[in-house]
Amino acid sequence: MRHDVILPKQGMYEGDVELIEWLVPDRSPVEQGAPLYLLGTDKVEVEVESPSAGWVVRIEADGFSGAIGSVVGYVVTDESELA
Amino acid sequence: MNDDELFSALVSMTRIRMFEERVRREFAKGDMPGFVHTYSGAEAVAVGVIGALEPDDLITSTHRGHGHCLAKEVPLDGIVAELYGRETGLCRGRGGSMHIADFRNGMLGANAIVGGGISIAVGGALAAQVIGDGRVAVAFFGDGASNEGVFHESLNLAAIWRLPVVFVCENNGWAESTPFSYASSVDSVAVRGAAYGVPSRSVDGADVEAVRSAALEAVGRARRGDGPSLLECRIHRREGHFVGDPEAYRDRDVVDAAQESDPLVVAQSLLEERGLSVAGRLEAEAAVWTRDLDAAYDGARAAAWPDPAQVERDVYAG
Repeated sequence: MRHDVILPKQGMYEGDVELIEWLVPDRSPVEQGAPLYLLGTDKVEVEVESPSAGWVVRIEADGFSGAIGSVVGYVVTDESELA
Repeated sequence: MNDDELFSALVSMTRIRMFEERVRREFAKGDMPGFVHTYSGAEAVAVGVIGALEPDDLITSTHRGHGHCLAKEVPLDGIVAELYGRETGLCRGRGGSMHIADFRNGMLGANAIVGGGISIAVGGALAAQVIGDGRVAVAFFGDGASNEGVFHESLNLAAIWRLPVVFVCENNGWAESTPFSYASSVDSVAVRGAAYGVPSRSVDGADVEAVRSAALEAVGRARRGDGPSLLECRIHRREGHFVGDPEAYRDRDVVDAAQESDPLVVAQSLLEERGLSVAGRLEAEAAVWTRDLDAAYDGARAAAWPDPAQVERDVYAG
């Protein structure tokens, strides 16, 4: 199964947000709730947690900016889905 | 609480926790306007206290009010539609998370103003006393609100008029980012009741049995015409002040400690100590609730927005 990793809404801020830096290597195993990447808004930086246990695949690179809800990667729950 | 009552409380608390976890996930997607505060960690207070009330009793809530709504049996579909600002919401989409009200179920309103609901509950209790209908009002509020003038005025007024109201402080130790230990002159909100001659107790707010027992005593006092009570429920705030709060002001070990005193785990352990196996039944209840949540979210997202031409509807002027 595939879970999207998005740029989440934080508090009331509704402008573009930034994927500052991935905290885990591409295609590496992660636990549910583990920090995946550092998110920046105009005010704060927060760690975004993994939506699921599995293997993380990056779509966007460090420094990507986009609208809230943008998909920046995904987590697959079965290693075979990495292919 | 007997076995059935305790299991029923555990189911209610589980529904609130699942509701809030779903809110966190859905809020991240960006299509829920405004911002939200979750009730996670406080479930035993809403369920313990509201379970001591009759259906037509009154409550006032806070900015963190989803748990109060669900425990008061406010309709789920109307709550979720209100979070999304839709015409089908309980306030026709005008209110959002922090202003949910449902008078038909005795829910006089969430309130974005800290302490704002306390005096409204006193008004509800005054109405009940004047009408003589036997209803009781409960004001939920946080530790931060106990430092507001309205808390002190409300206790005094309720005491001199012997109003049927119960003041329930959900003391989670944090007024947004300010620790209770810094902001309060006393180490327990319950101490403050003595200044107004209001019987006061402090209980472990993670223990739904302790909360229910103290609430029954206070509600009984109000119902008999013996005046107000103050109940402080000590709880932990499991998450940030709002969804997305980076919590730079809290040490990680404080956040971790909050996870150790989970009202859901406490209740489930109590049932298991009595020799009851509840995991299977709880899982079945959770599956039903997940379907209810799915339907509520689908319905809310598909519902109409309020008509801009109706902007003056429900607005009082003059």
